[in-house]
Amino acid sequence: MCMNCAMASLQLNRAATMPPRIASGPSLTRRSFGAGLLAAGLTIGKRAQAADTVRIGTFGPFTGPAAGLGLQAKKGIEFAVQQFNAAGGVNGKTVELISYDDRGNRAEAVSVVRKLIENDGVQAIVDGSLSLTSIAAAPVVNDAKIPMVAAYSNAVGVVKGEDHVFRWASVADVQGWVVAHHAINERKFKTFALLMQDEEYGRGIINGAERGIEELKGKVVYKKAFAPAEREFRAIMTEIKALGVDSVIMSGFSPSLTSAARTGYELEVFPKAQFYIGCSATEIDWYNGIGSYGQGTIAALEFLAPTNHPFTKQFVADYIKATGEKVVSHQAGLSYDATRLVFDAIKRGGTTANGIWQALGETKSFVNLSGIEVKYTELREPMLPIALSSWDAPSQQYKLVKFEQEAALIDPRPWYKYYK
Amino acid sequence: MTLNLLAQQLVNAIELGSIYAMIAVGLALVYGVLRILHVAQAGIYSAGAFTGLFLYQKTGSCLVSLLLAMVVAGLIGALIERFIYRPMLTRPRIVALIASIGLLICFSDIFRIVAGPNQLAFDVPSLRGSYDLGGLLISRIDAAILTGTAIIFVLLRTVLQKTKLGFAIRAAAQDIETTEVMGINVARSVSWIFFISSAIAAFGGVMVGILYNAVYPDMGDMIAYKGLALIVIGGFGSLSGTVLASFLLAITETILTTYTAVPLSREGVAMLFLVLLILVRPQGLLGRA
Repeated sequence: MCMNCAMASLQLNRAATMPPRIASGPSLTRRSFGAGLLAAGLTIGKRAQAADTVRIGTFGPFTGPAAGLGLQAKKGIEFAVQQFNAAGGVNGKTVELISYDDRGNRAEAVSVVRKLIENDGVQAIVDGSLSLTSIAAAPVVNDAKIPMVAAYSNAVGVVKGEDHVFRWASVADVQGWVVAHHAINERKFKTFALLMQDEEYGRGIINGAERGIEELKGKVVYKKAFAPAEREFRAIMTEIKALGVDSVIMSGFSPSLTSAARTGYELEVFPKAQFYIGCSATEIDWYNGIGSYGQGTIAALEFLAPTNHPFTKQFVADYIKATGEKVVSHQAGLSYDATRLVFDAIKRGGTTANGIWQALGETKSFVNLSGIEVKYTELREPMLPIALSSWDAPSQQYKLVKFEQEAALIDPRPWYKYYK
Repeated sequence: MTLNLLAQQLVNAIELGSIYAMIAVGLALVYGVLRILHVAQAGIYSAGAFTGLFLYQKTGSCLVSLLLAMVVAGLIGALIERFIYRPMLTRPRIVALIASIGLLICFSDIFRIVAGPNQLAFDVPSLRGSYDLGGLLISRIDAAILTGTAIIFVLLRTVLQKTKLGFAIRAAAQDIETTEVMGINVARSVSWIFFISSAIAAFGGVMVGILYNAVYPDMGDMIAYKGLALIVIGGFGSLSGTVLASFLLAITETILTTYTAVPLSREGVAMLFLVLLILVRPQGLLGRA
C-alpha cells in the first residue's frame, strides 16, 4: 500500500470511530476534512508538467540488496540528463527526470511505474532495474503506451510481447553463446563446468552457453545452480578441481562472481581452467571485492570503456569527474546509453510519448559507449557486440580481447523461441 | 570420489561448520536464559564486521581491530538488552521477537546509509593464500577461523563451568525467578550474556568479512535464517546441540548442494533439515523433551 493511501485509510478509519456530532447546519466534520485532504492530495499528486520540460521517468532498486546496481544506473541516467540539458535540450525543452525506488521488488516496481505514468505524466521511461522487476513493470508500461528502454536487464521476458518496451542491453543467452564459441573455436576447450545463478538473467546466460557447447560438440561435465546471494563456493570449486575441466562458465551478479573467482584461485582451479563470466563483471562489487585474484578471467561485456574511440575517452573522463566514481560500471554505462537513445528519439520524434515510441521503433542503429554502431532489430532488441575482455589484476581493469560482432553470434532473435 | 577429494570436502565442511557454530552459539546463549529469539544478533554480526573493517583501515592490525570490534559489538549487545529487551520481558515473547526483527532491519539500513550499498573490501594480506597439508588445501583465513573458534569455545566453556558468572548464567538458564530469589544478580548476568554473545557474533562478522573479502549491509541476512534454524535443530538453549547442528548442517549442505540435483539453496537445505527434524524430534538434537 502506498504512503498516500495508507494515510488516507488511517484518516478515514479514525473518522469512522469518532462519536457522532450533533448536526447544526453545514459544518466541517473531521471525516469531511479528511476526505477533502485525500481528494486534494490525489489532485496535487498528478503533477502539472511545465511547458518547457519533458518528463522522463526511471525506476530501480535504490535500497535493498540490489541497491548497488540501481544507484549506479541512476548515476548513469542522471549524468546523461545533465549533459543533455547542458547542451540546450531539444527544441527549447529540457528534460526533467523523475525517479523512484522499486526496492528490487516486483510489486513495488509495478506501483512506482504506475505512479510515473499516472501521477507524474512521464513521456518515456528509462528502466534502471533488474530483469525480475522489469518483467513485472513491462505490461503496465505497455498498456499505458509509454515507451520504455530497459537499460541493463537481460531476460527475454522483459521485451517479448511488449511493443512499447525496447532494450539496450544484450539478451542474456547471447552472452553465453558468444562465450561458448570463443571457448571452443578459439581456445579449443572441450570440457566445461557451468555455474548458474538461479533467476532469469543467470539462466539465460547458461542456456546460451549450454546450447553453444552442445552445438560445437563440447561437453558439460558439471552443472550447478545457486541462489543469487550465494558466496560460499568452496565445495563446488573443490569438485570442479577434481573433475579437471578446461573451463568454468558462470552467470551471476558480481558478489557471487567475486567469491567464486577468489575461491577458485585459492583452490588453484584457476587459472589452470579458464573462468568465463557474464556482463555483471563490471559491477562495482567486482572492483571492490576481487582484490589480487581473478587474473585472466574473461568477461562477456556489453561495452568497454574507455576504448581508443575519442567519444568514450571523453565520456569516461567527464563521468568520473562529475560523479567521483573510479570506473564506469556496467549499470551506469548501459543506463547512460539507454538514456541517450531516448534523447535521440526525442530529437527525431518529438516530446510526446507516441512520438518517442515511433522514433524508437524507427531506430536502425545507434553508436554505443564503446564507439561502435549498434544495429536495432524489429524485435526492439539491439545487435549488441559483445566485448570479450580479460581481467588484468595488477591494473585492476579489463583489457579488450575482441569485440564479437559476427551477426550469427550476437543476434538476439533466435533466443526468443526458448521463452514464452 | 577419491579419498583426497573426500578429505578436502570434509575440511571444507568443517570450515563452514565452524562459521555456523560461531554464529549460532550466541543465539543459543541468549535463548537459553531469556527465551528470546534474538534475530538482531545478525545486525550485531554485521556491525562487528563494519567496525572491524574501519578499525583495520585505521590500525593496520587485524588482531587489534578484531578484538576492539568484539568489545564494541559486546557493548552494543549489552545496550540492546538493557534498553530494548529488558523493558519487554514482562510482555509476551513475541513482542521482543518483533522488536528484534525491527532492529535487524534498522541495522541494515543504517549500514547502507553510512557505508553505501556496495560491498567493501576487507583484504588482509597476511591471511591470503593457503596451507598445503599433504594435498589438502586450507586457506589461511579458514585456519584462523578454525583456531579462533576453538579458542572461543574453550574460553566460553571455561567461563560457564568454572566461574561465578558462568554459574549464575547456568542457574538463570534453568530457572530465572529462583536464581533471583537466591540473591544472584540476574540482570548483570544477562548483560554479560549479551556482551559475550555479541562479541562472538562480531568475531564471526570480521572473519567472514575477511573470508569473502566483502563487508556489506545485508551480510547478516544469512545469519538470521541459519542461526535460527541451528538453534532449533540443536535444541533450544543447548550449546552442545547448536555446535553439533552447525557441523551436521555444514556437511549436509556440502553434500546436497555439490553432489545432488536437489534444487534448494543452502538456506533452503537448512530449513528443510529443520522441518524434517522437528517432525521426528521436536526438542532438537540435544534439547530436553
